[in-house]
Amino acid sequence: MRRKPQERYPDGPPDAPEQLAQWVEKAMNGNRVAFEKLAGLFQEDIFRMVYYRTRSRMDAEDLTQEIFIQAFRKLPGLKKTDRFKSWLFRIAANKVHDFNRKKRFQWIFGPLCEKETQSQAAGDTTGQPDALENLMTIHFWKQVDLLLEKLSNMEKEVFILRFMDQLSLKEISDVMNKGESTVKTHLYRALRKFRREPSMMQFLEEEKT
Amino acid sequence: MTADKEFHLDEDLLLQAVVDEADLPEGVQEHLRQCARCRTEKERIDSGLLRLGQMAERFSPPPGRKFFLPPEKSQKSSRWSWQWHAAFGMALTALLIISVFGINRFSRSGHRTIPVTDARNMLSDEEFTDQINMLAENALPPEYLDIIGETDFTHDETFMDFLVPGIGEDPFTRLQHDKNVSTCVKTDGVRMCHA
Repeated sequence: MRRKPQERYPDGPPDAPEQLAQWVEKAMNGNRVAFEKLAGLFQEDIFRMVYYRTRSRMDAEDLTQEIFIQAFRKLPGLKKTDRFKSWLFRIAANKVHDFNRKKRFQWIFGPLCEKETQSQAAGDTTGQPDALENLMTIHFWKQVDLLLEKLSNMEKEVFILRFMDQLSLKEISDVMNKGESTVKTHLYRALRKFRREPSMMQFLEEEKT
Repeated sequence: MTADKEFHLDEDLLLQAVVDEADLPEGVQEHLRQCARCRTEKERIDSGLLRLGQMAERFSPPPGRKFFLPPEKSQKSSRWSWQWHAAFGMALTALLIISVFGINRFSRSGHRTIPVTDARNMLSDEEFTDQINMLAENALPPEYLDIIGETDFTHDETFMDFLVPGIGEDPFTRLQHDKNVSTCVKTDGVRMCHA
């Protein structure tokens, strides 16, 4: 669940993009405090972004840590401070891509034990064991998987970035290093498949009521 | 397309509107603004997708630990460590040089002092060597030599010749010769010797 702004930004939310740009510029000059402020601002978004793709809390936490460390190292190379968010998501996307590739390789040569089961993932979502919530969680991610299975890799990535990570078309274009029209095309195709998935639509309708 | 009640946006146009409304032709955008039915349908899709995002967030765990930057490895400390390594290497080299050349110099100077323990060892070595030599000459212990009457086994050559004369030699004559008696003649049973 989305946390209150006071919880999310202990030092106060950035008042304006100018505030964010200031933190980015300071962090680019090696200011660790400024970077930690930025990390506090985007940590939850990046963690969820990774979790949506790995479905493992532990992996998501480790990868989030790695992503921010890599971002701090590469930050002096950032050209436009106003594109910090999409730049960060791009690092995250590459990291997740690498992780999945390694995991596939391990899956070929190693046991499957590392894969987290749906019930474990469900247990992760809540601090307290709530059977109904767990069931709903399992059901929801099953529906999402059913939908995503029908999408191509590009469609899947664009769909998740737009409707689950809540990025704008411009940001998705930056993250994926593709033209906006390409992004729109893939999104349109993904939406058509989404609309043809009655169980998903039904699930969302049920949740509404 | 106008807000004609007979014409409405089909599924494709609705999805295009969801992707980016600004991409629709001007007439379709106008219809969407005016037609309540089409707007409702579009909003239904939008809200479904928004709910999908909200539920994904709801059914995801919060991050367990706060991000922290690992402690910075200061360049100063790394430089110091490099300097320490260099200093240690140089000291080790100097120690080696001193130990090799210093020992040689001491040995050449001739002022060698023998430690007490070394001197004691040398004495005991000498005693040991003497004992070995004695055993080589006669392996019997002194008690046995007394019994067999060989206590003084250092006989001289003369005595040995007296005991075991050479072939054709008269031991008596030989003894006289050795006592500077030049000639001994036996006449009528009386022996006469001339110097």
